Amino acid sequence: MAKPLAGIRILDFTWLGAGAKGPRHLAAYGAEVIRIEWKGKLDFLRYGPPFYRLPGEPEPPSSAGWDIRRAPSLNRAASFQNVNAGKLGISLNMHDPRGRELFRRLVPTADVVTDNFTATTLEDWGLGYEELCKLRPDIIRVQSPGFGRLGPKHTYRSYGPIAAAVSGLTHMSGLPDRLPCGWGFSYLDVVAPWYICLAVMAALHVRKRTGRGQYIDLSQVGPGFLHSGTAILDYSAHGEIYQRTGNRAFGRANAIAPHNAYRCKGYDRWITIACLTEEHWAALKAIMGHPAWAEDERFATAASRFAHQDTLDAHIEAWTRTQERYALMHQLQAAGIPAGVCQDARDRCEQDPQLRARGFFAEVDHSEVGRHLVEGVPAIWSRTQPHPEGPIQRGAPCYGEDNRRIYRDLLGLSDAEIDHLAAENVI
Amino acid sequence: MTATDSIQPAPSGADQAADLLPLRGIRVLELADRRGEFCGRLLAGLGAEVIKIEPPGGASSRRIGPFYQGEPYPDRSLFFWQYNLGKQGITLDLTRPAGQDLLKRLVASADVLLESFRPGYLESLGLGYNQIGHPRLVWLAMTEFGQTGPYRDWQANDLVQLALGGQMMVAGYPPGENGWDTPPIAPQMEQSEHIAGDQAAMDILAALYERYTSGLGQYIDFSVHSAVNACTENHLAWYLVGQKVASRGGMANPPVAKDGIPIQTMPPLFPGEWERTAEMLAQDEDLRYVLDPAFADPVKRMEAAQAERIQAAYHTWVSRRHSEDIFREAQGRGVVWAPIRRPHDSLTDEHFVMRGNFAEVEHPELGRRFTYAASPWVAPTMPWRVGPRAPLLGEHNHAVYSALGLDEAAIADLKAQGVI
Repeated sequence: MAKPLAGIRILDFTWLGAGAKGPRHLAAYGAEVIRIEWKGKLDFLRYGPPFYRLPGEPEPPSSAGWDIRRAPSLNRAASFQNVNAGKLGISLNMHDPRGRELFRRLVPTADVVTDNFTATTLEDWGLGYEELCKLRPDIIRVQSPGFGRLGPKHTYRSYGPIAAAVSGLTHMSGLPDRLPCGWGFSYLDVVAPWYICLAVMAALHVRKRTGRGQYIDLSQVGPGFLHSGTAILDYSAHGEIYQRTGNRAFGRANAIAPHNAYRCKGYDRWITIACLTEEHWAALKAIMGHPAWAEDERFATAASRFAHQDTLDAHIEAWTRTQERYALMHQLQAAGIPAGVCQDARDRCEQDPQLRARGFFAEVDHSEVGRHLVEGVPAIWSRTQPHPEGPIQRGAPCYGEDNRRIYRDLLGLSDAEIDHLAAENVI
Repeated sequence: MTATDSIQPAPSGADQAADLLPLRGIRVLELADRRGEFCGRLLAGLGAEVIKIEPPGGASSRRIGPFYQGEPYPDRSLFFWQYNLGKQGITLDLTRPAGQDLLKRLVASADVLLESFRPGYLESLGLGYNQIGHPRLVWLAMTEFGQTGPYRDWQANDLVQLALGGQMMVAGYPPGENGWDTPPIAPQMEQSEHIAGDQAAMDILAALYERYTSGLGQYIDFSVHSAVNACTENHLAWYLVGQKVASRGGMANPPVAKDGIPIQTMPPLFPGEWERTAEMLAQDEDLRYVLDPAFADPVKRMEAAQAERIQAAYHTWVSRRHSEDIFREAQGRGVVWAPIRRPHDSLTDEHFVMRGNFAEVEHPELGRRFTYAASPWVAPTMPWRVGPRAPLLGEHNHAVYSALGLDEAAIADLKAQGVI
């Protein structure tokens, strides 16, 4: 059954963490994504550990930094495989005019051009939007530099944590009496790719109706503002400046307690519990064995529990410390109480039966590594199920893996011409 | 669309025709509480007609604060305003046969149905996909854990999702001398709703695009738990391949500027970045030691003694300057740093204002406008629809039900019976 974006071709310059997953989502929906890379400035995800190891191979040296000399090959990096699953891959030297000419020949065959280079990179190559339109009038052009193309800060550079800092999202994460701790990963490097994907699909919808292409300029920071909840509105309406609350409920929203992470038996083992209703609280008291402290009038209503959270949390944690986290979660859930173990990556891979039941870990094929698992998609569809293997039914591309398929089969170059261009460092 | 709509002005003053809204002509019925509202908000921004169907007493999200001037009324919830910007609102009691009949009639006219009821609920009312769906309908059912699996009937909220999803175990402060004395931290403000909403909107756009070819809709069983687990960058790949378990505390202890705002720095990732950073720090006489060739080697820089001296230089240099001056200076030199702003700080940043990231929306009954996060991107010929403000309770009952063919008397009768 044809996937949603079957027949759509995307010329994809997105790289690193921030952009490259956007087209990966489009590939999962069925688009043919051609990832364009050049060894002269390689995507550092290709040489960052950990690396896939084939049976019988020695352990790769552990790397103190991201050192290309220590990578076993350019096609073994776990991060790259996950981010770029489902894409075709070609090598192309855009710094060489012959390389740019090859790209110009590809544009008329493609629907979309994406990149997340610094803001004027493609323009500097003579491939700004107006130029692309000459090659294909209805081209859809999405660029995603850190701060966007329009505006005085377009020269600023960004990585995910920088975008998160500017958007206010970093400030919103942490304990109230300490500096923010931020996120433990680059949240906007995951979010911005969703918006690249949304932008491309939105433009495809407009093109379907009107025949027109689109230019879309997406900064990494923009979606961050949409993700700041009521903070901006609260400031606008009341002059209220957002205050962190750690794991506690955001009191300006609702006085809810218990609502926190509680220590469990063992080293660094935690569970979250959220009693959203009086029924949840009653059920929790029963599971705790109706301790006398819980009948204190301070804990009789949500508002009062919220006001006395320090004491409440200390009591609860004295009990949870004696409990094994997963057993406790099952017991609480059986009683209808929202509760979730704080899972780390090992837990999620090995101890989350729901992810496995839902097929969250998707298997893909790879030319060098063989079959392996990558992150799947969040939904089960009744007809045209997306899958990270994309239309080519494969994982991430090896470097230059699809050169013949694109340069020979699509553009019509002969094998000899291709070999010559490679020798000349054009591809 | 009412007079209080505002189409986000395109920066280049280009064509603003409503025909260029991506989801122009698409009707979305939203039967969702806080779990699905952000998705609906995005669809409204993309130009769909989003009709939010609430129980006659109002959606539960109307009872979530903060409230305008502290007044906890259904039309005063800033939470409801934020997540329901751009939608129409009608009321309907799905437990009544008359209400169920109206829903079926509304569904017949809809392109998308977005709902977040627990698994089995709508079916129990005879209102499930297999019962009232039609071939062209895209039905996205958003649940905490999906329609299947051992956790299917489990309870969750944002905190629980971020715990199970892996975000908490990698966010927090470094351990103390005696181990972990602070807990894993959940990043705040309903992030699981945003994470799920973004991906659900993607699925809906893709399914609608597929419909052009096949003429058919489909049922999308969407799990928030899966969506959130797809949001820890490459941590799962690191474990699957290298048994590496990402941990928390790595981003703590930022340098703090003179005005009390901490600064987000980055480890130099590309050639030249360290050199530019060192040159910037070396403006201060007592920090010129960073120019020592010993610091030039990226591997040596990560050794404990060197790393400590570099951090000390960062902290000292930053503490002497104002955060926004640091932002300008560093970026001007190609040093990729930024202030850790509060969410509202960018409201006065000309760059983001120019890009249409914020918009004022009229609330006529309050005689005021408020600022909302608006367009996520700049697209000169594909406007993002901003506003109108979230619907008052039942605001569009008359418009929507009379369009179905009900006359004044019928609508009044349904209201009297509590069906709407």
